[in-house]
Amino acid sequence: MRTLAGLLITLLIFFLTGCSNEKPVYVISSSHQLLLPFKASKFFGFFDKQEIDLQLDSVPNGDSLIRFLNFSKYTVVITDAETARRIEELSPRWLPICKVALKKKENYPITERRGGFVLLMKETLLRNQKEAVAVIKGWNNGVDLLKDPAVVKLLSAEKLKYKFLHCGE
Amino acid sequence: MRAEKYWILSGISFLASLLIGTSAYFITYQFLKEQLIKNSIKNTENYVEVTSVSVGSRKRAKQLIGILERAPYIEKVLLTPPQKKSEFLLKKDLIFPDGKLRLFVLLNRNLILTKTKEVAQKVAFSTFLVTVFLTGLVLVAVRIFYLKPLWKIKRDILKISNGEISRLPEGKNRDEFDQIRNSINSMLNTIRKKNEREDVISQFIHLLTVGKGFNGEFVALMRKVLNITGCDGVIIGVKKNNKAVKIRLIPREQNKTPVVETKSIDHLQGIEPYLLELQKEIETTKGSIISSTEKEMGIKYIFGIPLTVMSETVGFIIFFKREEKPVSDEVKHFIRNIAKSIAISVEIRKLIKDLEEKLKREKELTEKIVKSLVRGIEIRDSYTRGHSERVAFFAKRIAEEMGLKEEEVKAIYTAGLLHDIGKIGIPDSILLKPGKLSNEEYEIIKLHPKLSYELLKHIDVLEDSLPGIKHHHERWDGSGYPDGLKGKEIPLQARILAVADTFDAMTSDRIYRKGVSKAEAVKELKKLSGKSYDPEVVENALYVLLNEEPPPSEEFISLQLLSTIEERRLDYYLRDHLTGVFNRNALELAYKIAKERFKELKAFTVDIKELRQINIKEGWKRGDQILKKTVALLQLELKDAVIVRYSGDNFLIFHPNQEAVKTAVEKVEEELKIKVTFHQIEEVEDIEELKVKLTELEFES
Repeated sequence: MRTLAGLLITLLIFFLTGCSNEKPVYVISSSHQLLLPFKASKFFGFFDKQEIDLQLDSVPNGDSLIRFLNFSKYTVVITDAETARRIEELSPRWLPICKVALKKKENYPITERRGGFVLLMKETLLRNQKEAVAVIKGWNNGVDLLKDPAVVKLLSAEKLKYKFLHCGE
Repeated sequence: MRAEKYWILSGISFLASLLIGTSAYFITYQFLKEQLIKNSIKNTENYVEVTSVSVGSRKRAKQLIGILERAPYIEKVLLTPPQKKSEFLLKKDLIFPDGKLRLFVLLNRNLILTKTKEVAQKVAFSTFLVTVFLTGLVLVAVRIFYLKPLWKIKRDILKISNGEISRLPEGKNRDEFDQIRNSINSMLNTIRKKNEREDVISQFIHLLTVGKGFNGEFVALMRKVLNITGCDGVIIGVKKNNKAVKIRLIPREQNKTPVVETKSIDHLQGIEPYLLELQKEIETTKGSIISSTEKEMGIKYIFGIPLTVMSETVGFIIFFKREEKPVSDEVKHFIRNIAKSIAISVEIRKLIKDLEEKLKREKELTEKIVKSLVRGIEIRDSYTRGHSERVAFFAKRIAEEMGLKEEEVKAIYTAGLLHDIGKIGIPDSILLKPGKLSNEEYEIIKLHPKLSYELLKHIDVLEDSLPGIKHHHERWDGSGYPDGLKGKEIPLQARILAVADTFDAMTSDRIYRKGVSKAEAVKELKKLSGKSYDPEVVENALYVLLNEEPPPSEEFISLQLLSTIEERRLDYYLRDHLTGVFNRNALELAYKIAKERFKELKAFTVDIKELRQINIKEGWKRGDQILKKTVALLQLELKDAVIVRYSGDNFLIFHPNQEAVKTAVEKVEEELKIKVTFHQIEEVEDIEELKVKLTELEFES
């Protein structure tokens, strides 16, 4: 009787432990400022509510980004349109989702031509609809949060180089 | 047996451990192999990813491959797909700023499988050890906690069987084994009590059926019953007949003597008459039912049972107490059994007594029938009188001398009594013939053993005596009859009877000769031993025949009556009815008598002339008168003469004096006025010669 109870408890612990074992969503970007909307959402606990562990990495440029995409853990990329195009060409598993930012320079109005930034998702994440939606919502939520200068100041010492867009605008 | 099963169980446990260990090996191997392949692929993928990031260019693909192939778990890295598909193959698409690269990484199959085997072996061995250890623990526990107590119980039971102890020692743990011990002890007590009671019942049956009846042993046994039942006494009444009951009162106390009295059924008291009449059990403490005598004895409780066998009440038994506490149901059951045993025993005793009387009567009847049969032949043949009993006596004694069993001796005795019974079927003319028998007559006489056998063969009680009866005339050399048996083919009974029969025949007087002495008879038997008689029988018979005398035979039929009958029968057969002298049948007898009577024997024929004419002229009556008067005158004149009427008008006279005969004849002629011829026969030394001459004379006349 005792042996049976012990066996059942062990199975229960194993089951519960197995259930809470969430995989993090890794995001990589060619500029650390491009990650600010995610950071803002993360900071304000958006992803905690969605039970998503979002890990954010950035590299100095597009080439580096392409190299780093060989790490299979990355499923979300935010980069400029050119790099995004190259990625798309190199691997059909990466799919551009939406334009998420525009580059702005001092004293010049922001134009699309001058710089557009795209969010790409790997097909493995797209298969998990819930996570994919949560990531996009998290982005949009961050974009909204960054409209508050205090939030920007809290998250970045630098001046914002990008105008962030809602995904899907 | 118990050890064998335990070791079989141990063997099975070991085999089960081996099986579990082996199963663990295969399960672990399969599971681990998949896991290791999965992990290796994962690790390889990570390694490829890290290396590719660090290499950073498609152009440096060779460098990348070189780095990758240095890893121990990677066997080979290819740019083109290998020919065979394998679970150890990893396909990896890499992207670089200068283009994409597809790699096929082959994992080190041997390394993975070897590692899998090693781990599986360790797991299997550990599992085996753990299983053996655990089953060992269980077996040891079984041995200590179950087998040892059981063995102890078994040893104790063996001690009980050997009589070393009377019950199992009780344990202190109050566990299941102690409960078993208690159950066994309780069972032993029950069995002992039951045995004691059964023993008592069987002793009752034994006592009463062996004919000891209600003696001291019975009283002692009944006191044992009283101790078992807790009763103070018992009253046993057994019906003697339909009018009286023999009552025994046995008190429990050793110092009090049992009381025995016979009461008339009409004078029975208390519940006694009810038990006999109603044939039902009665249990009571009521003073109104208990008799005054019983009350005087202080009896307050009684349990009475009728002694019934096959619906017949043979008596009653009443157990009583001097207190009102009744006996238990179990005790009642026991008392009922005792009552049944006593009732059956009483009935059996009665039956045995009846049977013994019946058997005695039957035995007496058989003896009387046998003797009547013997007398039957004695009446027919005077010579046989006493002969059968004497032969039976001698045969019995010879058989005893030869050491035969009692039953065989009895059979021989009976055979001796009945050996000549077949002579009943022999005609008087042969049986009573005083002279020598003709060959034809002898052949008829020879039939008597077979006739005896046929007469008696259907009488079961005589079955054992038949061989002696049938073959007592067989002879050792095969010359006897009826079957001409030889030597030991002849039944021993018959060989003994032959000697006894011959001896008695030789020593007995006959009408025509006197018997020889015992010594002469024995001498003759010795002479014929080995020829006509069994030498062994003769040897054993000599002393008996010479020295022993048969007891006088009891007078079964009046001797006077017997001799009168015999005389009349002899007269009828041997004497001439008209004249009273011997007839032709008695010629030899007359010759023997005359020969014994006269020193010088002379024979004369006397013939009455013309008797035929007298009969025709004057009638038969006149003829008969002449014959009668002729004989009367001859007898008057010749006092000692032996006269034979050997044909109608011819007489034969044996007398020594010729002149006297001549004078007597003349006187007959003178007195009766008839003519009589007179003739002396010469040479009368031989009877056969005399017969021839008489025939010649008869023919001439």
